[in-house]
Amino acid sequence: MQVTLQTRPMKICFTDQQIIDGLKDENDEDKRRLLQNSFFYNYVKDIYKMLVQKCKNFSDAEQLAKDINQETFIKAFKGVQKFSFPVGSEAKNHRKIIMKWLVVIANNCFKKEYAKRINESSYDDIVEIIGEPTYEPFETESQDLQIEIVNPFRLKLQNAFNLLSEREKHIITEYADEECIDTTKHLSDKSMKYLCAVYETTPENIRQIKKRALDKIKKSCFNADKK
Amino acid sequence: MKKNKSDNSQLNQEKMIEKILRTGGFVLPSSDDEMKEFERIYGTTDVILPEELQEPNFLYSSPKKKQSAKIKELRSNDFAMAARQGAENLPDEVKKRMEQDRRKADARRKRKK
Repeated sequence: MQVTLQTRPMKICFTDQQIIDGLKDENDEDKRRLLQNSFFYNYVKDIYKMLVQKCKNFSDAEQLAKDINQETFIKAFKGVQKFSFPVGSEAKNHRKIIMKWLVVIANNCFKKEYAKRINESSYDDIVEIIGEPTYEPFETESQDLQIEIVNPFRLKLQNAFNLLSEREKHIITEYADEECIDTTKHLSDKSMKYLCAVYETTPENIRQIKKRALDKIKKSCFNADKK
Repeated sequence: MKKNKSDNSQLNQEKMIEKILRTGGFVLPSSDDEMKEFERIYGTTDVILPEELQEPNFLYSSPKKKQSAKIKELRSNDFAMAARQGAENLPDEVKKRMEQDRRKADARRKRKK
């Protein structure tokens, strides 16, 4: 009897719950691979799209996005035992929940991967500072989301961002990631330690760089309107 | 009164900047609202996956050691061989790199103290 080997796995539709439960329990290598592939095909495009936007402001953007994307899925499958849907969560929300989990991992991978490109010699110390990604399944609301943003302003910000050095872009986005852009708030100790290790500098210098970058953005976005 | 108005204006500007950074793709969106906003802006943008991401083969192959585009490839074997052969036979590039690494390691040791 002739057996036809399939080079591409058949696309079988599993629910997110089935995939997660299966990945946690499955010992059969072939079934496990099937579940991993399903998960990958379901989420790779969305994660890649986010990473392309995130990485486009940094050098070697395409390779960076690819590398982080791969690392994200590798880490996700390694850490799937620690992941679970919140009790009582509805199936229609599972995609959203998994996306948030993957974003936490992708963010962690970005910090490490980018740090390696900037400062390979301190990479081991930096990895120790960042640690492994920690995921909170509960919704955390961002502050002040009632502020309406219009498209022209978004373009202005991108133009302003293009004026910054790569170091300034990295530092500003780290602050934005922790909702610390405004001058009344401070970066967490962990993130400050990370930036200091990457750039081999002091917290005071990091704050100065952030302030300068923010001033440049404000000048470009808002003062230009006054002319 | 004037100073407060100016402070509020600065604060509003900063909040606006932060919001765009968090929803405009500069930072990976983390909350439901940020994801919704990101989807609204970029949802219709179709993404063409690069070849390496078309299939999840990387999950099953042995990890390749990636070289950073910025940093030149100087394998540790080169240093070991250079050390065995003697310092005067080292190329300038290797000597420079060894010196840099030595300085960075010293600086790190001093910081830890």
